[in-house]
Amino acid sequence: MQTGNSVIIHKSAIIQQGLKSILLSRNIGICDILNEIPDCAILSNWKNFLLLVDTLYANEISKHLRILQKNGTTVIGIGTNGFLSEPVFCFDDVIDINENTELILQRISGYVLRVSGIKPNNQLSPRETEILSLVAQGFSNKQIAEHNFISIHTVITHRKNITYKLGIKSISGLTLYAALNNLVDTHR
Amino acid sequence: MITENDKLSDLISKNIDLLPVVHRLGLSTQIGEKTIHEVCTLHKKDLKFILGILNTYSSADYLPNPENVELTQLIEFLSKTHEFHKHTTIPRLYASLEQLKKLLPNEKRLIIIENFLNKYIAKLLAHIDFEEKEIFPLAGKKFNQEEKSQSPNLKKLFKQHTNVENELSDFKIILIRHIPADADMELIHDLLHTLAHFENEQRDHARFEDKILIPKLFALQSN
Repeated sequence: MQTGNSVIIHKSAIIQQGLKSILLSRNIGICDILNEIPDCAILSNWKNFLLLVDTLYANEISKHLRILQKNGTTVIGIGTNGFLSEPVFCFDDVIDINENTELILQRISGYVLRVSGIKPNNQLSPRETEILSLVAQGFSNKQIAEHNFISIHTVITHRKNITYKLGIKSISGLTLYAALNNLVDTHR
Repeated sequence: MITENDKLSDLISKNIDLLPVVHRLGLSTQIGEKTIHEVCTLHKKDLKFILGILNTYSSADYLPNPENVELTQLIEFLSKTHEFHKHTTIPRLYASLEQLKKLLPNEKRLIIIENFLNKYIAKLLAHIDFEEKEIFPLAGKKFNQEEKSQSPNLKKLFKQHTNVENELSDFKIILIRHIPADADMELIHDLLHTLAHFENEQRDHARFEDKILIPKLFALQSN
């Protein structure tokens, strides 16, 4: 059985097909594959969708951000090398197509569970584990964003996912969790 | 819903965690077969106030009508609750942890847990101190015009409550997930039971302060 509603928006047919095969390998439902951002009437019908969008469409996505967020839609930027030179604030996360397929899958699966409202197991992705470790060491969202070359918005999204998966709300609780799981040096 | 005709002994029998609350209300002696109304008359207590407290601590959805809660009585009760946690709950938590450490001297995770507890308790005691010194005295104070326009302490209190509650709940969840394989289960149960009772008490204590005490103090400031 397929889970979630996803839409791929990318000009490159090769990337479209690559993303499609990755999503289907995990039984993630695909509603549409588009070459460009559709008009507002179509966008506003997407509720709890997962959008995988070419980072080149950042400006257009920004214009529709309010309606997308209101409808619980998660927007993942699909980029290539070099797109990280500037933080992209309209995306919940940005995935580099050069990344390992398994890592891409792991990250996308986490978002699919979120938009589907399914409680995931408490397994954190490597990226979330890294961010948890930095939170536990006392780094601010801004410092974490700069350290990882991502936007503060993306850091906040990761932190929400961490809290959702672990069921731990406070920074002190996350720090204790990180210490007990050897994610931080407790002797410092 | 608890009413004045309910027997106090039945109430405690159904929910043994109410006993410390009943004690703080000054009703824990000569309970016998008496109803709440009779016990209140015997100890010269305000029936409406007592029913408000007992119902709040018995049901997570209940809050009394603020008009039935007299500010001085509420603050006296909240102060006694602080004393109870300082002199009973917190030492009980440390006693359980100490026993666990004695039984498992090589369990490094207990040191990490103790460090967390130390920091949490330090924060909680600072919060209690802030309430005792900055918030509770507001009840008997006459405000001048400048003070009436500023009430930062009352706003700060609400945020502190959320943090205090979340941290305690997180602590309990993490402890359950990291019970050492060779730990004494009775000790762990004692520790978790004390934590769960503490968490419930904190939640009800904060509900009283956020929903009744703070609005009443705001009203005093704006009159």
